[in-house]
Amino acid sequence: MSEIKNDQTTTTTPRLKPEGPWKIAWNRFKKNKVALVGGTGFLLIVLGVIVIPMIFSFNLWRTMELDAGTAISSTVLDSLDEKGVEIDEEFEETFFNRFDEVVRQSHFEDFIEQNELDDLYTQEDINQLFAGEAVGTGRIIRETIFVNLRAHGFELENSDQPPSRENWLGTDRQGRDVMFRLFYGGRISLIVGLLSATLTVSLGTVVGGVSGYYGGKLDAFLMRFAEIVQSIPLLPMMISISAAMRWVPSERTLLVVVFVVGILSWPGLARVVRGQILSLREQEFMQATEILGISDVSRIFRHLLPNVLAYIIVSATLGMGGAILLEAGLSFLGLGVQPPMPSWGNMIYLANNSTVFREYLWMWIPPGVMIMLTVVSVNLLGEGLRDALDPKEIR
Amino acid sequence: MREKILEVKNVKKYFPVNIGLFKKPLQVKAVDDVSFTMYKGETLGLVGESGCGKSTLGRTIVRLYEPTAGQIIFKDQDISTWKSHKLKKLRQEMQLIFQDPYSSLNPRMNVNSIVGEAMLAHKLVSKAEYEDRVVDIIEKCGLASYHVNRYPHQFSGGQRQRIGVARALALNPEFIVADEPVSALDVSVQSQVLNMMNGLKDEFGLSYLFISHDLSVVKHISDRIGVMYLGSIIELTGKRKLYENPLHPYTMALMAAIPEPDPRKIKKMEAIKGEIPSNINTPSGCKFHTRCPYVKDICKEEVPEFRELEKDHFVACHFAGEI
Ligand SMILES: Nc1ncnc2c1ncn2[C@@H]1O[C@H](COP(=O)(O)OP(=O)(O)O)[C@@H](O)[C@H]1O
Ligand code: SF4
Ligand SMILES: [Mg+2]
Repeated sequence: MSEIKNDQTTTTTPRLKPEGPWKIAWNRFKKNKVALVGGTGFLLIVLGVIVIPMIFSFNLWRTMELDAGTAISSTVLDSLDEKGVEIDEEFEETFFNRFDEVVRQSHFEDFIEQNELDDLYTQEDINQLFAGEAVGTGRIIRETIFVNLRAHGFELENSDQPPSRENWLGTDRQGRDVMFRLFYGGRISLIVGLLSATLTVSLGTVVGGVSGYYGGKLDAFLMRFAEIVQSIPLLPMMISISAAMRWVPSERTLLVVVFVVGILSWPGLARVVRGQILSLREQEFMQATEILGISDVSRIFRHLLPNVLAYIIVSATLGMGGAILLEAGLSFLGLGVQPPMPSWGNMIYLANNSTVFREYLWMWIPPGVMIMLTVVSVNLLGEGLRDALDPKEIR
Repeated sequence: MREKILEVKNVKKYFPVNIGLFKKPLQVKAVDDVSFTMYKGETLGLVGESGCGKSTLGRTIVRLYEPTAGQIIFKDQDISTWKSHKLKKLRQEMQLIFQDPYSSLNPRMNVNSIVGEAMLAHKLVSKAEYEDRVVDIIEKCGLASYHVNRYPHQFSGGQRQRIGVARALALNPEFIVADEPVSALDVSVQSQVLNMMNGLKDEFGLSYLFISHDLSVVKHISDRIGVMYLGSIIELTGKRKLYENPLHPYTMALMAAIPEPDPRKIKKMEAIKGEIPSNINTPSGCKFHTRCPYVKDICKEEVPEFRELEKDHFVACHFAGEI
């Protein structure tokens, strides 16, 4: 601090540059090594998830539209349709379910080699399907399937491959490149974190601000409400909401996650903002605004907000780390972002399978590491910001 | 004939306090039946121990608080129940200088905004004149023009109080309540700020209600002095009279507590004994009776009237003049 001890105005040189509080905070932030590491790390991750997926082929992007199970089912059904076979609803349903099972649970090499298709569907089924065709129906179906899957970006014959030159982080159970999914999934995870943190911060700031500024009955009501929200056990509540939202199409499940995380985590910030505003209102400069006849709008936006902004920024940063973790937790339980859309959480979900857990480390360790790196760098950044923005230091 | 600027009549300010959820709400009698008159151009000092209600009285007069009872007549208008719109107008005539040089300035605003904000809010200046006006005012308050872009943390305590004074002067008021403006400053800086305030008073034609717990500060700047005890003014008179001929036992005790440079003068009384009573359950009768060495039975029952015992010498004691 550059406090001028002497009251004599002449002793302060005009050369001393005026430094605003934000400038000081920035200077202090620049000196904070830990915060810089966190900030740079986070920036690199953000850049990575934006740029890296763009390097991959367009085909891979299409795997995001369907998962292999659905892709196979619709491929087969399409080709049946082409051949003019009539399919009743019941058959269609069992067909879909069985393929889903195959794709989710079995190993694709086995699937190809052991003619599982023939095991799954009785000769009668298949005859029925391809009435009139004599040749090995199982093979025909398989070929049709693979041709069409490749068109959708899946390379099932290339599934479960360890890291190699072509696939730096190997391939997953459905033959998709893990590195692509890792960074594309990073987009999803970061977006979930960013949006939830935004929602949390907006709700928390508004509720806490109104509560602290207007006080009285409104304050009492809002704070009781915050307590109620806070006393909702997070995990069971999330599980219920996510389960109830199952009908939401998979590309929108991430919005559900954002909504759930945002709605349930604002009370903490609301309390902090309220406390800050209450203590600011006791400060004489706020009483001065009243005696000077400054309007309410100015009092809120020029006097109160800039003084709580530091807390809001810090809490937004830290909240983002929390939201990313929550998303991972939910997706790991199969309740968050739904495949085929990847997220770090649902990528780790693969480790539920003991073979994957023991033998295919490349499928679940990278997303785990990414979550860890992101949360750590976000938290370091947040703590650095907290130190840099501490308003007590710029009195 | 002296021109009245402010008349305070039987003003009370009680704050509700709730101790415990199911208990009857209690009241802090921060200001309890205060009456006095102020004249244009004078400085009225207000002294009293910390917690006796000086700040509350000052803030009630400038209508930061609404009085619980009584009237505040400012320039022949009863302002005690004025609301938002009229109050905003009043702000241009009455201002408040705060005690704490640290919390009284917004740390995120520079001097230009701190001092100039109110001028713009009241549309007193155009945007073009604004910066010149700010420089003009802060220079009158002993700061330099290059200070306008600085932030509070770049100033010393004394300089910050100067900014606080400049902010109050920006609206060009006639009447200023100065709530312990130098109490937080080093003694060496105190007199600089006091002298500056004295100079500004003549230049701007101000009247000050000057609050302090420090008798020597009040003596330095005031024309008349009021002494407060437990929410009430118990003695009010000219500076010399108060120091030479205090009539209330509490004032006498205060005077005795000042270090006496002349050893031949014998102290009339030792320092006051006992604790200040609570301002929730105030003593009956004369509020000072729990600590007064001259207490008689009547003091415990009847509230002594605040009367003009001699010309311009007001006192609230049953036995004033006889002690
Ligand atoms: N806003 C308030 N709410 C409740 N009690 C208050 C409030 N302001 C002051 N008081 C009480 O009123 C009494 C007088 O306080 P104050 O006017 O600040 O005294 P002084 O300025 O003489 O030190 C104190 O007991 C204080 O606790
Ligand atoms: S009225 Fe009685 S108790 Fe009060 S100051 Fe006078 S003598 Fe003391
Ligand atoms: Mg005070």
